[in-house]
Amino acid sequence: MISGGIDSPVAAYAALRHGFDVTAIHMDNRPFTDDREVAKVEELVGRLRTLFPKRTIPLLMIEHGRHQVEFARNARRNIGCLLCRRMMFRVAEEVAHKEGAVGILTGESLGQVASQTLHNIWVQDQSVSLPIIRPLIGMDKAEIVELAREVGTFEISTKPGLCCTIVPPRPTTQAALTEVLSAESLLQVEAGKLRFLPQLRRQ
Amino acid sequence: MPVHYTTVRPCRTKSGFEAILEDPLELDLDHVEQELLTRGCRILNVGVLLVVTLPEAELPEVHLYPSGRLLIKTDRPHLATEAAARLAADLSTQVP
Repeated sequence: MISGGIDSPVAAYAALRHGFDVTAIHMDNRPFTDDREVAKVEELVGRLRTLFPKRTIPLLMIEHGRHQVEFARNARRNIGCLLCRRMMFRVAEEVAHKEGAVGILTGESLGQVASQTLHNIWVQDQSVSLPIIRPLIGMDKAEIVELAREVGTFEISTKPGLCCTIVPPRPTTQAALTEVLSAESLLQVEAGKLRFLPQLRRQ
Repeated sequence: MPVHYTTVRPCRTKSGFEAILEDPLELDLDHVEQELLTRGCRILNVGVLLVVTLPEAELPEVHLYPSGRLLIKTDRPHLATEAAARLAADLSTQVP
């Protein structure tokens, strides 16, 4: 899973360097981000392709904004980021099955944001059965930034863009899995209402 | 009551402006949505914010929060100021 930020391109680089084949998936969060975030992702994947010219790195853009609308309208606000992440993982898992992939790679590092506390990472992991690979999990931001500079993604990631505008003011750092599951059951996430692969665009 | 915004750029890497008020409001977004619709805006009501497309095509998309805070999706200061002024005029009728 790749965003326009600093961490996930570094995670992708680490996996590619170790010989993994990577399919980049971007969850397109518009209208809660802007066109520049998408452009940054395209440029970041372009940079990875330049670094690994013999590797095929497909980029899939997946519409995610309408998931966010449902979460914001129907669930308690402070668990919104967890519902969002769990949906991203579900979509990534479906893509992985289609692509023959065996894991989901993310740029998460422990404690960096509310959704990345150990407890919330565990809650996210319960949404899928594939292993989640987190090459940066024990690194701090300064180390990740240094790596990003080395591989030439930092300058792209720090171009102007719009962070998610629907992030709650006080996201939970320790969500109860039961509450998250209950919210998802109201949203019929498992029953198919939200569980779809919307408008997949391959580049 | 007149509403006055100050537009600020939150940080160098954010491709948008925020418009802030001296004193936050407590807006009923459903009510504001109806009002803005009558003024030609297109609205996506997400419950926790409104995504507002102003009728003036040159003006950027604005996200309006219940506190009255605006997030304006442009990196051009004059368009941000103009969009904030446009919404300030609309909101003034909503504030007792």
